[in-house]
Amino acid sequence: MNNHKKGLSAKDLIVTGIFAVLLLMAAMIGGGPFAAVPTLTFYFPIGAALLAGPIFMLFIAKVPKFGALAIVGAVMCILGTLTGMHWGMNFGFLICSIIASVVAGMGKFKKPVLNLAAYLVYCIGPMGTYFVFFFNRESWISFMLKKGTEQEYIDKMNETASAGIMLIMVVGTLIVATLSGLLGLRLMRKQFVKAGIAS
Amino acid sequence: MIKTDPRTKVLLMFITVLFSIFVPTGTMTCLWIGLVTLFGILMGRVKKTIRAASVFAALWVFALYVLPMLHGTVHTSLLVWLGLVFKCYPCCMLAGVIIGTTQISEFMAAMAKWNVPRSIVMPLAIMFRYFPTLKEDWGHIRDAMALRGISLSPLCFVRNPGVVIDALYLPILVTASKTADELSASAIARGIENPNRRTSRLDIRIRFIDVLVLIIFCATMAAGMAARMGGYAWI
Amino acid sequence: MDLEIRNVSYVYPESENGALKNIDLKVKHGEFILLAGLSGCGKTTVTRILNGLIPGFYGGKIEGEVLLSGHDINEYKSYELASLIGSVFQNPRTQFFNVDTDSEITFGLENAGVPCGEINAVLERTTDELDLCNLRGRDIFKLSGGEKQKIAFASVYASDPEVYLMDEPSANLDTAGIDELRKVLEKIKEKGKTVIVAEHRLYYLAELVDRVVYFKDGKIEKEMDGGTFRSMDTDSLNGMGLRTNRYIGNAALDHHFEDAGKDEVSICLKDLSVDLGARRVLRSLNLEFKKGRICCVTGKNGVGKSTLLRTLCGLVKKSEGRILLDGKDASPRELKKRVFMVMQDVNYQLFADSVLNECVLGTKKRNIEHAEKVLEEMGLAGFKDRHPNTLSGGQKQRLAIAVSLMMDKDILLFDEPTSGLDHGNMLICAGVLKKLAAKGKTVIVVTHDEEFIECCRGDIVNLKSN
Repeated sequence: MNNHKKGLSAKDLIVTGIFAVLLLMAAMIGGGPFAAVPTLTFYFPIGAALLAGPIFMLFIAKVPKFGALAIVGAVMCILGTLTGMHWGMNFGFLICSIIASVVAGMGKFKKPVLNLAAYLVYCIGPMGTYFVFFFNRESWISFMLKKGTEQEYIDKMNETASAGIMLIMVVGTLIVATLSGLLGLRLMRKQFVKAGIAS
Repeated sequence: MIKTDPRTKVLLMFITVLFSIFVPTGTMTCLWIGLVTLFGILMGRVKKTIRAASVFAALWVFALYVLPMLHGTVHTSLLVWLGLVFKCYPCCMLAGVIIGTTQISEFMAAMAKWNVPRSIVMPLAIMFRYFPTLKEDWGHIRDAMALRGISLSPLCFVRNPGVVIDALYLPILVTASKTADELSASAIARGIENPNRRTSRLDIRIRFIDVLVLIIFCATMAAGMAARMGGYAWI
Repeated sequence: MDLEIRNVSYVYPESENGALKNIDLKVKHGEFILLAGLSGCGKTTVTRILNGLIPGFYGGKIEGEVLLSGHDINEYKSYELASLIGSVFQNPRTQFFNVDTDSEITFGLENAGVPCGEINAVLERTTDELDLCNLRGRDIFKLSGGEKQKIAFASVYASDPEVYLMDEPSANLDTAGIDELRKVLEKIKEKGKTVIVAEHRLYYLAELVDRVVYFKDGKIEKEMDGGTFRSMDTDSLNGMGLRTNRYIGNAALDHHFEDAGKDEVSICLKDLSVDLGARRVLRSLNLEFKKGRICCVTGKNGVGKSTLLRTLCGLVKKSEGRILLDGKDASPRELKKRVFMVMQDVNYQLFADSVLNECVLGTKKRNIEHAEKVLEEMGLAGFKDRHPNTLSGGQKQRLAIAVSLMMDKDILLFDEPTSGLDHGNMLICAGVLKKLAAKGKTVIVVTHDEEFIECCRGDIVNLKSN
């Protein structure tokens, strides 16, 4: 009766489930207000990156195993699909979580710099939807502007989902994720280790 | 009233996801919403389904008749936002129906029948179970913060960012860690680590009605695709 | 199934609390054993060794031998032990895995891969035998603590183990819940099952136990049979740091404490009604709480005790009636300034990185000297650099009280302050409350712990459902 095998134990899986909820809620609370307001929709990933840093850091400290983050991604992907989230985001989550797991794993989940990098990668996940939308926008706009003139159409295309907005989204997310990740590392040092909830 | 296997529901969800990927927003979207509405009502979720359908109808009418009258930034941002909303609406609405009519144990049993690995099923089960716990914990934490004169308002945050951050993260993560430990102990003591195939108290199987529902959804999807390939502009 | 622990020693990997030194214990089939002792004496550790969570889950190195029917416990896998030894834990909130009661009861059987038809038959039988028909198909989150604990018990009962292990199963239950617990324990004792309970509250077990094993500092200090235990009086039990073995009951408490007419009324409720959503939880309540007094509020689950406390703190808005603070109508905002509550789970309230910082955090003047004095008063002076989360339950509670003193709050509310405390800590808690009252604070305690109420010797208000 020994659980210290290589793979994920029952406890690891339970911790993973609980932290998946926390990560999901952090993304919803941080990003929710953005998603609901039309002009800010594109900044959802920025909001989603805001709160989760400390949760992410504690999670990889609690389950420092390769599969854990990948499972978070898979579970989010399934849950997102079942709750009707856009598939771009779901698979974005899955892929980015797996990459993040590899990145943090390179430092055996102990190197702060790599953990921070992993968090940045993880935060790119929710952008999937917007990338899909960006490359697919013609069909919707052409549906809406069938009756419009050619010029109007071109203007709209440039106005909506312009490369500029995409750039702000990506850069903004990376900056916010860095701050949140640094906060997470700080809380790890200052609080979680001392509190005995992470070693 | 009908009852379907959770696996059917999952398949319906995948078909709808495929629909929103491959079929562009248009008349087909309305048809699909109609289908989902019918499904929801037949599943016994009447009021909420009708409400969701009405909201969709209102947004659709708005997009077709009011939106063209607007100009400038308002027009642009609403256009983009509605684009996203209409893309997601069929999936979200079906998800509402599915979640509202499926028990978690039922879902887990169905996943087990599909041989979904334990490392996925278990965290999923825990998530469903932890959401309500987190809600309770959150209420307590809000109370505790209020008692110390801390609120989540921007003003309070600017005055004392460190305190607000600590008061927010520490109790949540400490209680979450505790819950994880106690829950794991209890689950292990009741044999969660048993490698044998898990059974369920619910008898889950695909019946005639499941096949019928799937055929209807697939046929509609195929019709939509065919119409698009055929180049009918009105679709 | 006989259990035998032979010369077992154990230390937790990260803490010295609860370590065991050279324990020898034999349990015969069908015995009902009570493990008693102070917090951290090692009684919980014994239950964890028997259900295999030590060393499998908690780690650490165990010396000596543990035998189940003559076989070494190490030969069993965790899931094999699960079908032989059923465990019920302390906290009803965190030990269930499902969200509906039926699935929870059958959880163990599903893990073991029992066929569907059989599971349903067992489910029917279990709910029948344990009188749980009214709890079938319910949302576990909407159950009371007592009901949750019954479901946890049923889940173990359904797997029909030979041995039942319980770790403070009554810690979060009210008197009615404890009574229910006692009834199911009676039932399994009748069935001839082995029962091992580690517990602080003893009165409900007194009639059931065959043997009491008393732990002190990780060693078995004393063993006595049930008869001897039942004949012991409360004083000698208290002398061992144990709680009473007799039911005190509300009736015994109903004596009048000395009238204190001259005390000033600090908070007064007039026709107070409170709604939560569409439900009226409190209806036309008239109460007075006096300065310098302890007032114990009792009442069954669901009569709105917690809502009353939250209303007094200004966390819930009243619907009708008046709340008077020193004779003047008080808004929730004013209440929040004057009133502090120590919650049942204090973990929510502590978030600084050291005990001292917890005290000075958020106070207007960061007065370290004052904080040290308050900590001294609460008996926490030696812990000021520790992280609050590493303190024991009783210490955390006193830290929360210290925080309230630092914030100059003069009305202090306590929600079930003694859940999970041993006798010594309960006395300390009562002492602190008396001290607070002597300082002129208004102390209001919601509790179902009659023994504690007797120690506090305060006024008693019994809330009745409307």
